[in-house]
Amino acid sequence: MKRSALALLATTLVSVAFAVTSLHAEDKIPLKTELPKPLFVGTPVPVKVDNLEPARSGKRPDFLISASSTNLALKKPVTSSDPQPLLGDLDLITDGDKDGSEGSYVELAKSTQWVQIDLGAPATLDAVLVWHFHAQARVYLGVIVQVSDDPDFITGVKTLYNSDAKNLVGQGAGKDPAYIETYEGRLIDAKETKGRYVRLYSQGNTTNSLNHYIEVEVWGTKAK
Amino acid sequence: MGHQGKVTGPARRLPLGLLLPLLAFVAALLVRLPGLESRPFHTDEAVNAYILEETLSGEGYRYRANDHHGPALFYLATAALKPAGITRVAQMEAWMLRLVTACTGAALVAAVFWLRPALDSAAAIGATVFIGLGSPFVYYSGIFIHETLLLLLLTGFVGVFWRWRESGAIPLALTGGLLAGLTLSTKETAAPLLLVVIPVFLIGSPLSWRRQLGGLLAAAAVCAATVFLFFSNFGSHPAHALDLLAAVHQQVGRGLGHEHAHPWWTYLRWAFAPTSIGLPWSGWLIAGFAAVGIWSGRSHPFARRLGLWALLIFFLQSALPYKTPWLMLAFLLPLALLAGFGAAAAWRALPSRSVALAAAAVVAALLGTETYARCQRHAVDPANPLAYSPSSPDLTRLQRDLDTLAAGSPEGRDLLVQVISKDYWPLPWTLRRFPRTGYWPEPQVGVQPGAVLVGPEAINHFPFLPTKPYELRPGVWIFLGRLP
Repeated sequence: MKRSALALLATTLVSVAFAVTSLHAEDKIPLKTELPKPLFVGTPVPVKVDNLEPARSGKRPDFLISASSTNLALKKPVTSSDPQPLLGDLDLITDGDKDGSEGSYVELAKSTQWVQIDLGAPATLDAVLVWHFHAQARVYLGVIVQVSDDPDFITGVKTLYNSDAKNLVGQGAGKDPAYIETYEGRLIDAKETKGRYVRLYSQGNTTNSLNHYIEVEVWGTKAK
Repeated sequence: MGHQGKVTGPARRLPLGLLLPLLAFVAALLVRLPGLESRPFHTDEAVNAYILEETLSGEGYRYRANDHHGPALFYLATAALKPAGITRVAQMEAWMLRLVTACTGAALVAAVFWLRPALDSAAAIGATVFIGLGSPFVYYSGIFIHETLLLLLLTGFVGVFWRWRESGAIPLALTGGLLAGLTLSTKETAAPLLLVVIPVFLIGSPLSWRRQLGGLLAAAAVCAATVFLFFSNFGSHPAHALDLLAAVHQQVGRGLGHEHAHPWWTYLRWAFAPTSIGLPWSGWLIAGFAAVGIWSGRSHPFARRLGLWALLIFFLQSALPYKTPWLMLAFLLPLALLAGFGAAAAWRALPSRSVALAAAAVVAALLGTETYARCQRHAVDPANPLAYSPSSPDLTRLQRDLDTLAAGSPEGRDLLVQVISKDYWPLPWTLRRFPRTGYWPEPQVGVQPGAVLVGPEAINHFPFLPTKPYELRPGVWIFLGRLP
């Protein structure tokens, strides 16, 4: 009798434990997070750019410069065809900050505009790096980079880069490819060109007709 | 004998009256079928597929004023796909959706015969050639957008309206109202079209102004009821129908705004300018024969009104900055009908039937050659003006690589796919069979193991991720990487 009572008690306890466990198991469901759904958009505006460079896989290959080369543009004075930018200040172009957010870039007026950096003294240039804008994938049109010892760029002008295939800027048609802006900036081979002033043109971009600059670096060695 | 003649006359005409539209439909459909599956899926089609899913899955249609138009196409596609058990976008194939618009495009060709009280048979046959073979009509029948359904309903409306303006019969006015309501329920651009077409075809009506007013009011009431029913998802969301009114301001703003703004001559360039893929024969032949049609039909009331319709819509659309190539169909349709008049006149003017047949064969061959080039060989070539922001064939490579990635991962199709980009359409269509896909406009904290698709603007956040570039559309790239 005592044994049966114990067996009954044990069975009851097991049953209760099983029921409690089952209840907890029923209470639990697998966690399913809702992934963000795509947001509907309208007809995309076509990106029509002549001679657009295909996207590159992986990081940019190393570019070799002379050991004595430094960023000669850092903190140097900048002038522009639009001396009163719509957003930001021209000093942002050579302040060393390459962040893509607002407050780090300067926005110039529509159509063809240029910015010019005075390196302070003639120099032998290895490379120019330019960041127009990289918070959104876009292509800047009519990108031209020139070097000269003449601050008015009338004499001794040497063109390092020209993606203006249709000569819309008026500096002659160029054969260099247009490219999509990224955080890496555009590296332009200066081929040891000599000069004191660097001027960069653009003519709006594929998103709007405004012109932007985050940073420009000019790598080279001051002439002795 | 006389009595017998009266009986057998209509009996002989009736089969022909059905046979010609049927033949036109079948022939037009055959022209529209090739490439329905193989052409890359346009962003607008991808967005439409996801909106269709809402209707198919029982969620119901919800009007979104920004770009996404009326529900008629989605209801039609639902009626076509639901019986086949399709309720999710993952079950869809491109050809299924495009077959719907291919049928509406082919029906548009057949609908030309609906205009026969105003258009003689020879002119109707001529017009079916231009609409059936003309590259803009074929191209936009082959993508899942609203345009061919809109034109089909508009043609139906014009046929009914023309009959009503002659007879004043109230059932015709009510049917006209229903068709006007359906065109408005297809796409908002129906509003300016109707505002042009109604007065153009009303001028010179033999009806008294009282009967005109009565018929128009009856039609307007039916039209309003149809629009309300469609936009409110048959009464379940009445507020959505009111959104249509609120959207008027937005739509006008878009028409006058900077988005898709092109110079006034753009439609002329798209329709007539030769490109690297050849001369747009359809533009030149339709315009050329329409000019002959205007001359030969200068005393024909319907032909004159077609000319006015084409001209007014062309000037209106050219004056608005907003332009897309499929909007050309709104003036190419009356021009093609007018070209039917021109073709009939040319047929009659040629010295013999064999010469006329040879000339017709040349016209058909030129149209067919151009249509093959623009709708098949160069369907997504940026040089093709009909291909506006086309999706890239590179998406096939992306799909293949993602399939390989899924096959090699333990999760298979449940592989987590994280899309981090501001511009990712039509990727949701490409990724429709990956249920665990999320979309973020900015890089989020803690990217999870799985496939990562990153736009160029965000790639600096993933310096550790080896990535491969894929083109979504000309000039728009996405990079695929895998986070172990």
